Amino acid sequence: MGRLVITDLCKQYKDNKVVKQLSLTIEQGELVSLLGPSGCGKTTTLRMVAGLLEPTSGSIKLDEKEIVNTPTHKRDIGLVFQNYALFPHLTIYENVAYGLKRKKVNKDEVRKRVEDALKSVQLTGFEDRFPTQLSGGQQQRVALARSLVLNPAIILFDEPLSNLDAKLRQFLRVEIRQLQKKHGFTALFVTHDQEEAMVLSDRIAVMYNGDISQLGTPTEIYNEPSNSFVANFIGETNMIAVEDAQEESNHFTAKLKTGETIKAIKRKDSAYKEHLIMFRPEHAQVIKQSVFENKDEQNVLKGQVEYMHFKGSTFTLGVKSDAHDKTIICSLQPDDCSSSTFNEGDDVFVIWNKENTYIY
Amino acid sequence: MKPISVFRIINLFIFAFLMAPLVIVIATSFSNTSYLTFPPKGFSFKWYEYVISDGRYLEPLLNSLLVAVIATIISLIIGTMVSIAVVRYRFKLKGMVNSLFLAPLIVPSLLLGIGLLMFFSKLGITDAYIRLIAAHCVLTIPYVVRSVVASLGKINPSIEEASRILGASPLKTVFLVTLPLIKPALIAGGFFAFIISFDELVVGLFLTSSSVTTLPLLIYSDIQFNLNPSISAISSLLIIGTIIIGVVGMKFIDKKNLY
Amino acid sequence: MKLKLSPHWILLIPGMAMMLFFFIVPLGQIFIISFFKSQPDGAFTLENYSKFLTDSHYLKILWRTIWIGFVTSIVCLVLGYFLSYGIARAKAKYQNFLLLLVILPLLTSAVVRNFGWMVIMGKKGLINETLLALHIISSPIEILYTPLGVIIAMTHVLLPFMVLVLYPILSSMDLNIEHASENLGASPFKTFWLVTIPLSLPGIFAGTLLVFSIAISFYITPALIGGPKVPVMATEIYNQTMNLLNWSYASSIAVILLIAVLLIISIYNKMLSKVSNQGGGL
Repeated sequence: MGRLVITDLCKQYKDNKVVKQLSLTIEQGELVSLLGPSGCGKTTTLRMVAGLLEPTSGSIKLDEKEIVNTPTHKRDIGLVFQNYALFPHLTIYENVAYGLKRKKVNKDEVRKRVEDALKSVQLTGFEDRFPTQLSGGQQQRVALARSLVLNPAIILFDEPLSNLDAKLRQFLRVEIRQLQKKHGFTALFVTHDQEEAMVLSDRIAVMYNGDISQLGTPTEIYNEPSNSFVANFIGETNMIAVEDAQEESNHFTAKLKTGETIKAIKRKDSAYKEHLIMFRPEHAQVIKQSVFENKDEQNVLKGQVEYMHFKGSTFTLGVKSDAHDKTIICSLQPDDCSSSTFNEGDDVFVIWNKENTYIY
Repeated sequence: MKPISVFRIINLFIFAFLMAPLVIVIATSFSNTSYLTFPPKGFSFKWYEYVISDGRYLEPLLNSLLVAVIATIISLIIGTMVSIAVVRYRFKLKGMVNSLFLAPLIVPSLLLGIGLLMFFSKLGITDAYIRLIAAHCVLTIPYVVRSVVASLGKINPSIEEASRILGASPLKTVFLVTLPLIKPALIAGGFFAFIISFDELVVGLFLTSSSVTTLPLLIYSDIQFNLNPSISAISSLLIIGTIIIGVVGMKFIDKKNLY
Repeated sequence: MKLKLSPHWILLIPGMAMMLFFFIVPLGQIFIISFFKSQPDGAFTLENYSKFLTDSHYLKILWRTIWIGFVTSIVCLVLGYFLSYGIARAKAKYQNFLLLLVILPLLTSAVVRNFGWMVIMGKKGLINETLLALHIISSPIEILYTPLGVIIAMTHVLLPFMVLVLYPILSSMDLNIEHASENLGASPFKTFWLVTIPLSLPGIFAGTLLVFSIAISFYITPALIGGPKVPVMATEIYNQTMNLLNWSYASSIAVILLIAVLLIISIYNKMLSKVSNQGGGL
């Protein structure tokens, strides 16, 4: 139970289209993240699924049943809020029991289910406290228990971790993932934190400007970003402007404004539209010009070292090249170099494979 | 003398000025004479006995209480509904709606009295209770709206949304979540509404009949036509009652935002 | 298209109906009536207004209303500023108690408070008895039924309002500014005059306007303490309606009074919004 099918969902305020023809299917037991910058329509979409906002048009089906016109309190949906939204006038026990009481579950069962839910979020013993007596992390766990206890078909998460500090955030997202797998509920998770989405999700829907820009597993999204927005939003990129590009049998050949040619292999859905090529910092190699010879038809750009930062697990090298307005970022393994390998101003080549090159 | 102590002495005099008429009223209520004089001569409870045993004050007191209680309840219900609409919904003319419900604070009650007298006469409504309750609802609703609007604005709407998500209907959510959370504001608003209604004189001058009168009206006419220490006695009872209600009610009131 | 009434209008219907019938229509009626002659077949006229604004008897009443209101506001301002400053600078644990002392008179019936003043000001009242006993005067002086009496009693009634406007402003003022001034060599008096007063200027205007607007429309004190000897606009309106049954004329005085009050309050709200964004206005 818990298959969610959203079809052509729209939300419009006067002339402002916040969500445009959004379609998304979430399979039972799956955790899908809506990932995007603020204002992309992800929270609006979630609130429409929850019934807190009325869509302008479109359909939302939960287990083949249309729920667009079902009022919030009759939808079989849980929601965990960013600000926890616990009832400040009720104890933790009463908070968790709230939904069960509305369903007129008998007292003994309420007690048992509340105890189980609090146990599963490791808050046994907190029953008689009030929300204000708990830390932020504990409050969010109560909010989770409050949804879990009702066994809803689907639980929605509205940036539930963004009010917590970094350590607690990492800890809780693992906990959420484990609970989700254990209880097997379907989940729709809204976040603007790409790392969070990567760690948690079965699939990620990257949203941009009211629509889904790309939908796929975390690896697909990272390795095969279908456009420059997704590539930029997930991970770091070097995005270089292209003057012209030719499509050939299995690759594209792009020409930069300074004359260099860059090759990018053809992928499913590859298309030359945005006049950009992209490669990721970790796919770049940096070699001093004096010792370089190009054997494998790699992509090469000439430049000078602008800075070098040691980041613990990697070195980040900034390379200034005439071919690119911005500094090219290269991420090097400590095995490949040390802080003495390069100096500021060194003439270097930045090299990367056409397999790791994307054209947009 | 240090400037700070001069300052304190001045303030002491101002506090004395504020308390003076209340203290004087209480002092003269124990007078033994049949006329008002200061300093009061003798000491007795005879005027209290008179006020309590003589039925004169009982009916107006009950009238005042009845009108105040009903007006307060109506104001609380209607005022809370208005406040929820104003705080929780977006609609055109919202600012004007909000100002309308605060307007009776500004408009002199004398005008409301005249207007309502003409209005009720035209409609043939002569029942003093209906007239007074309607007028007092208008006079007291701003106090409820002001305090409830401020309180609702401080509650995050997601708490009410959480209640609906968990299966409570919007109406049920109001009773299970919203009202418990704004309880202090309801008490404060209701407290002011009650006091304003109970003490109201001017509108009552226009709307009451000779057969139905309220306590402030009776005291007012006694002061003009029947001056004697019994007025001090009944007034003292009112002062003490107000102090008791005031001290209790003050706990719930945000003193920084009264005006 | 299904016809659906938005929930906020359902919530507003009872309140709007109440305000329409018992507030807007009655006040509208006063406005309309003020433009017609008193007779049942009365025709449209501006006579009511011109009579009030030209007849010297009524101009005297208008003038008396304004100056009594003005003096009351100024006295309230001075006393209220002392009180508010004292409370705002008192130890935190005493502030609530002191405020309670100011608010309690506000909560007690205005009739009762004015009655108290009548006992104090009367021929055999506290003031006269004291002065006689001290041989400062040889025969009782008149305070009751004079403008002076009205001003004293009205100051008492309206002083709490002044404090309720000034106290929040003075208590939220950053004390460090005063300390800084004293640190720079200004005496406490100078600091008060050069720093505290200018910073609270919008509050001073707001409080004075609020008290003035209530004072010019106040009925109980002029009626009891002033009596027929000190007629003001409010008592005159009552006299014209309930005693002389001259409803149209009373209505025109009422409209003039209402417009004056609305004008003053709109300035008051502007002043207050300058000192706080919390919207403490009326």
